[in-house]
Formats: sequence, structure tokens, C-alpha cells
Amino acid sequence: MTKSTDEQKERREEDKKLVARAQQGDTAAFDELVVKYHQRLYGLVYNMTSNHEDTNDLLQDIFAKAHKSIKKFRGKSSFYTWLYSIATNMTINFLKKAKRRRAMSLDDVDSGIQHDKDFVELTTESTNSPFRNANLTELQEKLNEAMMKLSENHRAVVTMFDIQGLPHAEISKILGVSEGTVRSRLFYAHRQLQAYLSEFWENRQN
Amino acid sequence: MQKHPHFDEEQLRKLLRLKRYENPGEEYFSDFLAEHRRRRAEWVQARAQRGFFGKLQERLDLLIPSTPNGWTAVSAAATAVVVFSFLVIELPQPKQPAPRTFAEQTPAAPETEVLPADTPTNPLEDALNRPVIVPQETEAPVEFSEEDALPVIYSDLISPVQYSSQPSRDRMLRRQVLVPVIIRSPLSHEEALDLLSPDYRHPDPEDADFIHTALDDTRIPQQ
Repeated sequence: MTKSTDEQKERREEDKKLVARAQQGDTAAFDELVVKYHQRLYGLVYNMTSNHEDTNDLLQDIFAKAHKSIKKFRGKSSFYTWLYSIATNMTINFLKKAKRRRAMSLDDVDSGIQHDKDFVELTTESTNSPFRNANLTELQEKLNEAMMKLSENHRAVVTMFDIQGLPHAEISKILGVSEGTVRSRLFYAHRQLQAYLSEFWENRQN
Repeated sequence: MQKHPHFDEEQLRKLLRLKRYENPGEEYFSDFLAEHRRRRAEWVQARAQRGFFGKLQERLDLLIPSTPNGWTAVSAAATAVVVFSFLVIELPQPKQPAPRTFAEQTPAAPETEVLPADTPTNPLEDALNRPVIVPQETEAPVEFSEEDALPVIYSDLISPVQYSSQPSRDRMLRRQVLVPVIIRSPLSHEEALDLLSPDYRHPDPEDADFIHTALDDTRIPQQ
């Protein structure tokens, strides 16, 4: 068994115990689950809404809903998958209702990005990338613009797979669709993003 | 298919991975739990003060699936219950005489009311106290022949395809015309998508989803 599989198993066992305690009304156990998952869920919701204020409100609502429904959780899936399903569905619902809300990115980007080899590769002069010589703000803006052009379902799979690194099988469980559908959504979302970013490249060249 | 020579898949993946660095900072996350606890305490307190209907409303909110189509499903279920109830109420009718044509039908004889001896003499009071008499239905319902039924058209186009969004009318029409052809053909997903998209260089992602589902769920195997 690989290290990551062991870690996953351990995480699930730990979650099971915390969920069982939370179901008995132990709020400290639920707090531990909040602490454990709120950063990851923030990434999911923020990359789908591109708006920090909306993300904050939604995230609080998601945990409130999870707390109210915790007694109904039967453990058929992992707690993590269940929580992600609640978050994805609530975010998609929210986006459908608030179609015209403008994107409002975070002002802060973790300074660690400057040392990321992908960032260095994409922004150095020697590369054949549209973001050669681009500054951080421009890069962030273009990324968010491109993401917001995708449909909610496509944005969800791109966020989970490309940004959060979830495997296809996990995403299919969260969204309740087949793995084939996840792959197909990813394929067409990538094509759409590439088309948009290539357009940006061409505009930069002219 | 359109090529993107300047921006390949690998560059896109790298760029997307960089979005992990967009986060609001440690301070936000350290305050998050305190905010959650505060909201939870408010909610628990409000719940304790809420009456029966408040609690019922909350139960209903949790019962309704939190899917994008949750309320639609609930509305559909409610409609089905109403229709079903209506049918059940309509079923136990008394035995009816054999159907007749309109020409044979005769109006029902009006019922007469026998008033008790101590009926008030005031005409207004008398009118107000008089029960409303609804004449009993004695006529048999007129039967419809099979020819009266609406013809079933486009039945061939009805497939178990779920639309994930509200496609435009044009898109819907294109699908109605082309999908029956596509599912009987040996076309690949990509070829089918090219055929379905009005501009093959910019295929519609919703069409892509649709094709994928349509072909996997309904494709008729080639003999």
C-alpha cells in the first residue's frame, strides 16, 4: 500500500470518529472538522466564484448546513466527499442565482508564488508563453477572467482537478456523474481556456 | 479542430496550478472558526426560540436536496402528488349508465325541497336559511374515441437525455434534428460534436456534455 493511500485511510478513520462524536452533539468535534477542511473548501468556492466576500458567506453557510445535517450523514461516502458535495451544490446554486455579480479577486497572492517553478517558467523571457514578462496582477486577472467564462459545471471540474488536485474518481463521486463525464468536461473546459488565453497571446503580440 | 500553437495543454495546467496561491492569508483562516462558532450559537439560540412552524420550515429546508435542481424536483413531486390525489378522489364514482350521445341526453329533473313546518315566515330570513341545492349529476360522460387523441409526433426523438442547462431554442432544434441521426451512426464523440456545433472551430461546451451523455446512454449498437 502506498504512503498516500495509507494517509487517506487514516484521514477517513479520523473523520469517522469525529463525525460520530459530532453526531452525538459534541461541538468541539465538529470544530475540528471545520478546521481540517475550511482551507480546502475555501479554494474550491473561491475558484468557482472569484469573489472573496461571496466565498466567505458561502463557506459559513456550507458549514452551517453540514452541522445541521450531520445526523443524517450515514457514512456511505467519506465525510470529505459529502462535505465537498454540499459545497459544490450550494456554490452552483448560488452562481445560478447571482449570474451578473462581478468577479472580485483577492488582493493578496501568497508570496510563495514567486518561487514556484511553474510561475518562473511561465513568466520568464525565454519561454513561449503568453505570460512572458507578465506581472502578477495581470496573470491573476487573466486566469480569473478565463475561469469565469466557463460554465459552472466546467469550472467545478477544473477547480477540483487542476487546482485542487483531486482524482477523477473522487470528482465523479462528489458531482454524482460518471468518470467519463468528468473527463469530457475537463477536455472541453481546457479547450475553451486555451482558446481564450491564445486570444490574449495574439492581442499581446499585436 | 482548432489548434492553439501558442498555448499548449501543459502551460495551461501550470497556470491553473498557480491559482493555489490565491488565498486570503492566515489571519482570515484563524478567524474563520470563531465566526463559525458565533453563527452557530446564534442559530442554536434562534432555534430554541422558534415555534412549531419555524422548526417545520427548517426540517423542510434540510429535506429539500441541495442540488441545483432541488426545488424543481420538489415542485415536480408536489404536482405529481396533487394530480395523483385528484385521480384517486375521482376514481370511486358510483356506477354510471352506458354512454349516450348528446342527442339522447335529457336534462335532469329539478329536485324539490320539503320545508319543515316551523319554517320562518320572514322571506329574507327564509332565503338565507335555505340550503343551496346542487342538482345531482345523472348524465353519463361523453366518451372520446381514439381518433380524438393527439397524434404522438417526434416520439423517435425522445431519448433519456438529461439537459444540464437551459439550452437555447436553436441549440434544442439542432439537437432534435441531428441527435437521432448521430446515435444511429458510427461517428466518434468529436465527429458528432463537429456535426452538432454550428461553428466547428468553437464547439459549445454544453453540446460537448450533451453529446457525451447522449452517445453513452442511447447509442444503438451497429449490427
